[in-house]
Amino acid sequence: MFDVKRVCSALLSLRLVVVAMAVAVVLAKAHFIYLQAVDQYIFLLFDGLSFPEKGISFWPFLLQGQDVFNDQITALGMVSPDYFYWLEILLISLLASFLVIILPKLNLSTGLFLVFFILLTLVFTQLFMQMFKQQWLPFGVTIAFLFLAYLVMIFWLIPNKRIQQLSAELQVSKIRLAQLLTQQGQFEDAYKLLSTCSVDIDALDAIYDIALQQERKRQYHHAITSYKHIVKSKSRYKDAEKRLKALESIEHSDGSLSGTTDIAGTLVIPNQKVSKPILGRYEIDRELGRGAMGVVYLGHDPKISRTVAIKTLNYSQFDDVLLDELKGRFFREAEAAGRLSHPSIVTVYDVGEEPDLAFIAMDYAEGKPLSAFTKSSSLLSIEKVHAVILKVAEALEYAHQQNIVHRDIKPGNIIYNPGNGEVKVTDFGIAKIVDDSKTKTGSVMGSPLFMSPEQLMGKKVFGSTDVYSLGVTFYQLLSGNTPFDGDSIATLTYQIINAKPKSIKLFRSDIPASTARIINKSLQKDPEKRFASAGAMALALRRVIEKEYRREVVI
Amino acid sequence: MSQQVYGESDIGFSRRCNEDAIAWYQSTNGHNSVAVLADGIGGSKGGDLASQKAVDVCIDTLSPLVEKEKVDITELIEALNSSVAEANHQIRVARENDNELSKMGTTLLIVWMQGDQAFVANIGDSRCYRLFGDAAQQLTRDDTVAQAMVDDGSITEQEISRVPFRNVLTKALGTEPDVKAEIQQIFLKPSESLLLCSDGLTGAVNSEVWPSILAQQKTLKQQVESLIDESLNNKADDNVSVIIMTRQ
Repeated sequence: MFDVKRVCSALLSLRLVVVAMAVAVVLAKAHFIYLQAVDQYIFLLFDGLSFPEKGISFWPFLLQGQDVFNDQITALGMVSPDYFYWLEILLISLLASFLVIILPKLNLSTGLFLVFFILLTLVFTQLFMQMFKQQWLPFGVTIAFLFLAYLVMIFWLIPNKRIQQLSAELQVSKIRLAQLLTQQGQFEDAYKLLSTCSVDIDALDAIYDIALQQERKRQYHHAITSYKHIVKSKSRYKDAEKRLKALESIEHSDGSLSGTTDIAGTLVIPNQKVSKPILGRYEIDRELGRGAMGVVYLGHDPKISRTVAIKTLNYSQFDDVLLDELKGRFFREAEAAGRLSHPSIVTVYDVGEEPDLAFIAMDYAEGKPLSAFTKSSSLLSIEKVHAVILKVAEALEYAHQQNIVHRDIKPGNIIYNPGNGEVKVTDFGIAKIVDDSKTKTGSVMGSPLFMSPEQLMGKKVFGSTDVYSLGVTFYQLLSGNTPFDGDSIATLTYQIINAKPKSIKLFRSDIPASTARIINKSLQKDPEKRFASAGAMALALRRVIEKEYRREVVI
Repeated sequence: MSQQVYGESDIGFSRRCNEDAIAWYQSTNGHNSVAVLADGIGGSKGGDLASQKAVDVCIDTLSPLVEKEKVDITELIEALNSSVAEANHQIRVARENDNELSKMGTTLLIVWMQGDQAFVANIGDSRCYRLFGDAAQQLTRDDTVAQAMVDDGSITEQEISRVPFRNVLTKALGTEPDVKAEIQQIFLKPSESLLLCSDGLTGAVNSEVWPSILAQQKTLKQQVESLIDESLNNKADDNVSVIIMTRQ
């Protein structure tokens, strides 16, 4: 509980005084007549007890010369045994050790009681030996030493107890502060603070806590330092050594793990021995896939055991200059998407930031993205496609009324649950976050297949751009083809802006004529010529469904 | 009249590696010279490798020709085409052999100068300019989506900065099995010189101000460095490379 080094240094000086006193007393007792005062007092006491008829007179006390006093003793026929010389040195050494080593560890009253008890024992032993054994054992020097040395010690002990109490309090405060810093994610500061603490179990607990958090936050280098600190102080502390080895082995096995992300921008999800990474308060379970801006993970919120999909924006893929602007846009868009609440729109719960990435935590929608149903072998029935597109159109109408344009409607951003027919539109506004990339290969951008002409020309976009993209999505879900194709981004861009789309009837002759008209209208190059709103498109779809499939559409 | 060539390449303000590569070769008599500039692409890996490979191949194959006293146009164009094909081939072999390099590619700009003529071969969006008096005239045409959109009338020059795929190359070395450079022949007046640069320079310093920056410097080296310094002052967010070729 106390700082060993500091106490040692204080003890060292004190020990020197007390030990010096002990040595001085042993060597110089013959020269200090005053040291014999105790013996002479005890002798007087003995004299008084043995010869009550003489009467005892302690006052005025006259210190007698050594020779005179020795003569008195000899006259009474008392002798000092030969071993006494060594006995006295032994006693003084033992008492000196007791004072400098044991006494500081006792509380004040116990110390006082023990010292008093030893003093009495010495006095009575001397008296007893004198009266009944006729032996002269002059413990007076020892007694005087014990008394004086105890006084020296007591002057130091009282402030020292206070210091110890304060440093214990300081330690508790430091640990408490470190725990707070850890909770706030300031691991480095917390660790620095704890490394100035003296090693005790509470401090180790706190460092262990930091190490665990660092591990989960994928700060493996720092976690290793923290675990090393623990293992050095106490090798068998919990599972610190095991965790240290596990971390060191993943670090050694793959150089790319030394950072926090690998080249593709994937979080490293290490083996079982290392804690699952966390982003914000979400524990990451596994990778779900790759989205427009980064990797998507399946995670859960341990506090309310809710499963979430976490989309990440990995900073490492962007140049530093762009990053600040990008982050600003990311949080603005996430905030906007967070305002949307609709049964067919994936709910955004939370946004957050880690040193190397930003993330959005959203509802994990059961099902598959519609991109799984775009091959001619895996198409959904025409009727189902109509129902799905209707739901998306209605979700878009709701979002547009909130002034939020999706900008990246495509099958991959619509999750369809074949079990209950539920549809969830995801990634609202995310296209806006990444559409200013400086890439030369177009890899960050993805494909312009579903982008509207005005979007490709860099013009300001409105809800009508989503209507266009939904038209392309509708086209692909029905036919397995897209209205335009090209072997490169350049030719595709040209076609989308300038060419007439291939008629859907070329690929699929069995779709209702009214459906083909809906598609043609939504694919108009001029936004003004498309449906006036996603709601108008939904209405047209609803009519087709009611007419062709004789269903009352209830939403 | 003897020729002078000098160039430099800088990592720029915010890139983690220099994906540009430059080199030049002059005949011993100083009558002919060739300069090559390449700007690699490949996301996180291989861009620097592709551009270096392209530059090395071109210098290796063209330098023997530079030493010839007189090279006729057909022979030269054939040599330029075969250099491009060889560089393309080597980059594609490297892409196939290493998965991590599978997306690498590069722009390529070769300028051949003999007498008062120059031949410019270009793939991608590195540029060659003619410098005369107080003007810099762009000689090459970018192979980018944005340029293609301008060419087909979809957008105007002023709208380029808003187009989402503006920087995506429509042509690059290494991305296709067969790629041909656009080759043009230029006639130079004695006072004119040529400037080769990567898009790091054009992105950071407007070409209109180049002549005034260059006019303040005496030597070719100082001129090249002053342009690079200016682009760094403007926090060029890409690698910056500049080569200047003059006749004196």
